[in-house]
Amino acid sequence: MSEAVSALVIATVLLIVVVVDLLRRHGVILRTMHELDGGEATSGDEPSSRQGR
Amino acid sequence: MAAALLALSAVLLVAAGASKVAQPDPAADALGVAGLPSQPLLVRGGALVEALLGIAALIWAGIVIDVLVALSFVAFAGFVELLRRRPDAESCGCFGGEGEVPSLRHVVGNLLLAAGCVVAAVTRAPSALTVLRHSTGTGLVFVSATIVAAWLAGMVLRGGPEVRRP
Repeated sequence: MSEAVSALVIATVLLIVVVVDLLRRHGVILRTMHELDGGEATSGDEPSSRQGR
Repeated sequence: MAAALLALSAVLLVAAGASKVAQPDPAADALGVAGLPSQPLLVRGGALVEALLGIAALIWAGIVIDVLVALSFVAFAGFVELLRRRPDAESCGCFGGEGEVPSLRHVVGNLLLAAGCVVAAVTRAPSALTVLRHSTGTGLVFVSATIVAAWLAGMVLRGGPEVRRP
């Protein structure tokens, strides 16, 4: 049983990450990302962070 | 938790390996950018080994297989990190596609999976098949959740879900 619960927990955590990604890309939580990025608001995180290095 | 992480890693190996067998070019391009041997035939061979290792881990979990899976993910993490340092690397090709931007998230995700496999080796975590054989109901939930988790993990590692814009 514990293995099944663990798999469900992992799937749930990953689902949350995917949903947060979707919300970010739709701009729903763009302001939060803007603040986290120190003023650089983007619709896709990685390309912008690569430019920032 | 270790058994779930091992099964998730194994399913990802199977999926990524099968994808690269079918579409070796993006991974071959990435290997070329990293200055590594990049013949498509070589990529196909490596991808086949990757997929077979994943299948083996789903069937026979054990110290040797768990450590091999962990080492695979450490190697993938190193490769993606190498690509992150190359400005001309547009895709890692890990899942056989274009536009899989080498990201820190991908590196960290691979290392987390590697750590999970090490824990699985130390704790002698059961394989997915063993869990399924032990209890069919629990095993089916385990396998289903693992497949869904692998699908989501693939999306996360590739850099998030695609959003179609009008």
